[in-house]
Amino acid sequence: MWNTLRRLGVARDDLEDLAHDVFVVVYRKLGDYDPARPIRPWLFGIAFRVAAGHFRKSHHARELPREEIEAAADGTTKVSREDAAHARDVVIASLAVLDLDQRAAFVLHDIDGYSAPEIADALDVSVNTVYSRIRLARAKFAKAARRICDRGGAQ
Amino acid sequence: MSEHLSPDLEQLLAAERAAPPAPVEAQRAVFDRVAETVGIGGAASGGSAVAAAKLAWSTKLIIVGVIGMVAVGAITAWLSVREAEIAVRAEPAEAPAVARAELPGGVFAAAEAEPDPESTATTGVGPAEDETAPTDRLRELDKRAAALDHKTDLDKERRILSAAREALVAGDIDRALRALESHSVLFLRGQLAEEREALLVQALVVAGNASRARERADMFRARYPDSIQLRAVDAALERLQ
Repeated sequence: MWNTLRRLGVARDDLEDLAHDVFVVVYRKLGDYDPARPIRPWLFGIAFRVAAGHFRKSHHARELPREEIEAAADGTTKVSREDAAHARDVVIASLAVLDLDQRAAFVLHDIDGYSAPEIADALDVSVNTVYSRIRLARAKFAKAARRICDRGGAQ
Repeated sequence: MSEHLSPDLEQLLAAERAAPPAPVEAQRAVFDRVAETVGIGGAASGGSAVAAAKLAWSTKLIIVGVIGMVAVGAITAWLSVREAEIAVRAEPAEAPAVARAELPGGVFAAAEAEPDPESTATTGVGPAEDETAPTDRLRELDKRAAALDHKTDLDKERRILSAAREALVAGDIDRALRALESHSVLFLRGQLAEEREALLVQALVVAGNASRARERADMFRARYPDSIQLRAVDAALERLQ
């Protein structure tokens, strides 16, 4: 859940609060869960709605993950970071260019490995909408990631 | 889906999939806050205390079941009636080098790494190496909750495994494995854990993951030496030969 919220753009300082909120919702909605369905997309759907509500508040507008952007683009820090950690920073920084709906579909499909029908069910949208969002998200993500990696220097 | 991600971008995403879970302190903090928010462990009369116990157990079950779920590392969930253990830990990515015969995230890997059932060691939320005994209060709540959940959990367990069986029969291995994963997260040591483990061996055989199927079969034999499911497990392994 921590990583899910992080990928949805929740600032580090807010992760604990949002994780708490998600689990409280999970607790309250446990009776609604259909055990025949995979649990992760169901949980992701709750996290998505909690994050969306969080961002809608004006003083919690979705923040650019400044730490990750700076770490990903700053050539001077690259030397001191492990490759995997640097790669994760690039991913989080690149996800920042996506709107929340695209992020959610992209994360569920290309990071968590769920099918479009499962994603549609979790996010309560049509399958075609999921495919469309993933296509758009991939194009934007790829462009952002390449830009960050190519720069390698100053943000 | 037309556009594919290039290999370099796939590498980036692979690194993100292997992201470590939340820090232990954060996990504990979240758990404590949720417990406080939903009113677990407060003074109550008999009926509401039992309800609180049930809810406490369910909440803890879900929290420990999902806190590390996105991380590649394994999750070990504490569901046993008799055992007062909860461990949530991140394992190094046992990420399957084979095809999707087993879902990433290693829930089944976590089940392999279960502590000795006879052990009374207890852990709090967090990595296994950072074990902290839960309080007596939590043990008592869990026992009461487990007794209360007995009937309703069995219905849920049956539904999940029924879905897994149907998927297996239909040849939809991914769906079968996901259902088995859901059961493993929610009812790691549930009443139908034995059936789940037997189904898992069969699913792995159908998926062509021979080494994993044999490993799980060995674990099954060790754990359930007198099981009536052994015949089905052995029959599944024969298909590998």
